[in-house]
Amino acid sequence: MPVINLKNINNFICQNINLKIADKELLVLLGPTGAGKTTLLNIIAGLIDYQGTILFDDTPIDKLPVNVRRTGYLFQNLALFPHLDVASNISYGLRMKGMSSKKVKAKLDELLKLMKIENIAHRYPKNLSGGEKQKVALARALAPSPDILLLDEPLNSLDFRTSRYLRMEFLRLQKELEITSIYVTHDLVEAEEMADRVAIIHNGKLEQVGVPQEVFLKSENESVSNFLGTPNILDCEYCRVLGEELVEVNCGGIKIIVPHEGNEVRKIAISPSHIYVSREKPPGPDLNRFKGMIT
Amino acid sequence: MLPIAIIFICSFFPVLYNTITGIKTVPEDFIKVAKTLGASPIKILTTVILPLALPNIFTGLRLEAGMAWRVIIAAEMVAIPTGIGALLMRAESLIRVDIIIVCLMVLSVMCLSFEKFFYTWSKN
Repeated sequence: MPVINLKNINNFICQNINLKIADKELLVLLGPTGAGKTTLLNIIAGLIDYQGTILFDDTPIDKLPVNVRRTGYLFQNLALFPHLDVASNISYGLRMKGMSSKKVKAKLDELLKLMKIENIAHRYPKNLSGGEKQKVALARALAPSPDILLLDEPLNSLDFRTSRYLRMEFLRLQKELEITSIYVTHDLVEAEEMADRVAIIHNGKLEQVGVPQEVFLKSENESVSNFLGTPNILDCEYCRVLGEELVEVNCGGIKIIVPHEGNEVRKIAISPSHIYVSREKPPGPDLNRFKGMIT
Repeated sequence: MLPIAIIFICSFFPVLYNTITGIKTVPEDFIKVAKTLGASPIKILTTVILPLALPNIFTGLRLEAGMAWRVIIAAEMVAIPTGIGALLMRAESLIRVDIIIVCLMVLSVMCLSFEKFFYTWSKN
């Protein structure tokens, strides 16, 4: 898979973007709505005009039309062809490449097995669940063996559990296939869980790039810190595994239940956006709720 | 040739406008997906745009299939001396109500069956 290098990328939203994405890396492009995340993906795919240079392994691809750029693109709304069944949707890219029907069949079987969707191969998109559609769209994007995979908020419309399961599935596939990927999201948890590196984009400008810990805990400028919020970092005195990926931690006498797969938690970071203050006791289970006085 | 020309003039443009409307309503994302999957403009037209525009194309065909019969009957009544329309006119001048009723029944059945044919075809 190639190293992707964006040099001085400009258009109606993006302003002088310079970014290098390493081979086999999963870069998460994070930013608020309207920041220019999707526009940057469209630029890499060649779907919109831009000034600047995009290099795949030091080879400029700016003059290449979309259909020969070898990018796999997973759109936000997935855009599965409604008139084709799952098998035909996945094999669409292979047929466009002019592969023989025997090779198409072999590759299709391989992808159906990889995504664990053999049982829905002959269903139409209207008869699929959100998670199944997601898997089909990913398989379709991967089918022509692209050099780079672009994912535009693909898990946006799914519930928390399905979204988390698919995130893990995608991570497994990305590592297994060793495909360079750019994943767009505005969800900090998603970014933290998935990214090799995070790039924060705001108003068309690339504000900060780094590993998740570095970006989330040390914002380089005001716009990044406004978007991420300065997290409250608490030391945990002890932790107790409750099962079902839940851990109870004690931070300075406050017992908080957090989702965690391991047995040990030393610190927790709570984003201000996840703290709700209410005058009256809100309805629902009494979990992570504390009575206090604001002085 | 005259009946064919009249049918063509009356049916072609409504079908064309429906086809254009159908093509315009194909979501842009499907075309983008096809492009990123390596489809050429011709392939995009034949494998994405036209299949997705088919419901509109068939709506136009279905409506015009019935309309073509009505148009040709009207033309036969005023300009072409043969066919059901001309027969209707002759029956009217002879006050043959039975022939008029049969002609109208034939016209109704033909309109309905043509519309039904295109409807079934579009469903398939």
